[in-house]
Amino acid sequence: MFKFAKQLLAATVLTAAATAAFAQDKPKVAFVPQLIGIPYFNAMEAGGKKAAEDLGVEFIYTGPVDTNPVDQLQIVQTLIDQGVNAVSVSVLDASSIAPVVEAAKAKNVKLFTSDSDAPDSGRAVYVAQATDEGLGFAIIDELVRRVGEDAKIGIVSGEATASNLNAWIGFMKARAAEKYPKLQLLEPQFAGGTAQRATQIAGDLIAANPDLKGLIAVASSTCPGVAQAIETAGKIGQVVGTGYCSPNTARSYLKSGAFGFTVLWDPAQLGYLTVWAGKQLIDGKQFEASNTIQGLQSPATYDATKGILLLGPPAIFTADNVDQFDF
Amino acid sequence: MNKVLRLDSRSVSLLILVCLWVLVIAGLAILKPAALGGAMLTSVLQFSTILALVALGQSLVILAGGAGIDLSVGGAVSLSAIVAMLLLKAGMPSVLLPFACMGAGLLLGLFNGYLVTRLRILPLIATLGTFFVFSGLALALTGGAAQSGVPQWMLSWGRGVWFSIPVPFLTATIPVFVLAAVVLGYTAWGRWIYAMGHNETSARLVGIPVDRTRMILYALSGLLAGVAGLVSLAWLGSGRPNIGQNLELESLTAAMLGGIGIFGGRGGVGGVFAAVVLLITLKTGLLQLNVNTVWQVGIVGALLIVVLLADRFYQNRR
Repeated sequence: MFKFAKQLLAATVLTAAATAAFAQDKPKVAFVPQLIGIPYFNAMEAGGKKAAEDLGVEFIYTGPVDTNPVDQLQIVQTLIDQGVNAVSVSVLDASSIAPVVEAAKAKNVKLFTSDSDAPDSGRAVYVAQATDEGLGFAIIDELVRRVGEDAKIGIVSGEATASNLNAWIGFMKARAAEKYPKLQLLEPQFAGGTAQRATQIAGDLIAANPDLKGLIAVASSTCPGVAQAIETAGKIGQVVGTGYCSPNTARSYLKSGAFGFTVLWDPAQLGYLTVWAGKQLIDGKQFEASNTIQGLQSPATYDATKGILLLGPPAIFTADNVDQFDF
Repeated sequence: MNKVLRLDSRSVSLLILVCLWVLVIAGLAILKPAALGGAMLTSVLQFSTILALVALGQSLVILAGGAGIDLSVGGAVSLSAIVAMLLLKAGMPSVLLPFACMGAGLLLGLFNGYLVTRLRILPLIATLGTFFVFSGLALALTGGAAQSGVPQWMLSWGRGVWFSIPVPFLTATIPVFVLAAVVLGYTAWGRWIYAMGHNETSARLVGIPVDRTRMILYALSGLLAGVAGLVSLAWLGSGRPNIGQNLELESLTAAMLGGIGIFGGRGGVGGVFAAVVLLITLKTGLLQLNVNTVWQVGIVGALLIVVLLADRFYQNRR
C-alpha cells in the first residue's frame, strides 16, 4: 500500500511539472445554472459557447443535478479554487454566493450573477434577462386582455425559495392591485422541480375553482404540467394557460389552445450576454449605458446604480409567432 | 484463529475508506495536481462540517438498534436554523442565537424520541412523518424566503479559517466526534448502546434502561442537527428554509459507508467521519475535473454498494 502511494506521489510530482508548462492563456468564464439538464439552461449553455468562440475565451458550464443551494455553493467554490477568471451564477437563493464573495475577491475572480440575482451580496454585476417588474407586469397585462379584468387566476410556481420566481409573483400581485383591483389572484402553489407535481397542483386548482379563468406557470419546469392539466380537464378555451415558457416547451400547447400566450426572453442570447459580460470584467472594461454587441438582437442597457446589465424587453410568444423561434 | 481475525470489522471498513480516499487524492494528483492545496482542504472540510454533525447523530440512533433511523435530520437542521432566526427577529438578544438554535434542535429530537419510545411508532415511519412536518414548517414559517440578519460576530466564527482549517470544523465537528468516540468506547453508557443494538431483549434483561437511552439518542441527533443549523447560519449568513435538503439521505449514506450496521450494534464513529470526508472529497474532486454532476450521483451510489459488498465479503469469510 505505502509503496503504491509512494509511486503515485512520484508520478504526481512529474505530472505537476509537466502540466505547469501547458499553462493556458485563454481567459476562462464559467456559468453555474440552478439545475442542469433542462432545455432552458441548455439554451443558455449554447449561447455561452457561441460567445466563447466569438470572443476567444474558454467557457465552463457546470451545475447541480437538483435544486440544492449547498450543492450549488460547492460548485461555485470549486470553480473559484480552480482559478477560473470569471464565474457567473444563476443563484438559487439570494445568499447562495455570500460565503464565497470574499474568497473570490481575494483570488481576483470576477464573481457575478446571471439569470437570477443576489442583490446585496457584493457581486460584480447582474446580467438580467428582463426586469422582474417588466416580466411580472407583462404577463398580467396580456392575461387581462384575454380573460377580462375581474377574472380569477391561479399561480403555479417551482421552488418556494427561488428568488427570481418569487420576485415575479410579487410584481404580478403589485400590478393586479394597482391596475386591476377586481382581478382575483389565488395564493401561489409550489411544485418544486418536477413536472408531475405541477400537473397535480394545476389539476387540483381547476377542480377546486370551477370559475377559474387563467393559470400562470411561473417556473419553466411547470409549463408542461399546467398545460396538460388544462387539456385533461377539458378546459381549453375556458381556462387560459400562460407562463414563462420557451417556445419549444409551449409550442404544442399554444397550438392546442391550452396556452393563450407565453412570456420569455431568449436564453441563448442571455448566455451570450453572460459570457460577454464576463470577458468585459476580466479585461477591466466598464459597461456603457447602452452596449451594442455583435451576436445580440437589441442593445444591452446598463444601470450603473443597481449594477444591472439588461438583455432587453420581454418577448410575447403566441400561436402565430411561435414557429419563428427555436429554443 | 488466524492473523486476519485480529482486524475487527470496524478497522476493515475504516481501512477500505482510507484506501479509497488515498485513491481519490492520488487520482486528482495525477489528473489535476494544481487542484490540491490549502484551498481544497478548506473547501472539503467546510462542506464536511454540516454533513459530519448530522451523520454523527444519525449513526448514534442507528447504533442503538430497534430499527433506529432518523429521517428527519434534514428537516431538523432547516427548522432549528429558521426558528432561531425568527426568534432573533422577534427581539431575542443576538448572544442567545446559538442556544436558541441548539435548543430548537434538541426539542425536535426529543419529539422524535417521544414518538418512538413512548408512542411506539416505528422509527422509519415516525421520523418520515416528522421529516415532512419539520421541513414543511420551515418553509411555511418563512414563505420560502431566506432569513437574513445573522450578527457579524457569528459570521467571523462561521467563515473563519485557521491554518486552512475552517473554524466551525475545528470547534464543533472535531470536539463532538472525539467526545462520541470516547463515550462509545470507554464508558458504560457507550457499551449500553452497543448492547442495545446487538440484542435488545438481553439488554433489557440485564437492566439497561433501553427506552431512556434511546430517547436521549434521538434528542442528541436533534441537538447535533441544531448545531449543524447553527453552523449553516454562521457560514451562509442567513437562515435558509431548505438548508437541510437531502441531508437525511446523505447522512444515511455516510453512516452506511462508514461501517455502521443498519440493524445496530456494529460500527464506530471514526468510520463515519472517514466516510463523510471521503464523500465530500470525491464530490469536490469530480468537480475539480469538471465531471458532469449527473455522474457524481451515480458514482456515490456505486461506491456505497462496492464498500458494503467488500465488508460483507469479509464478514462471510469469518
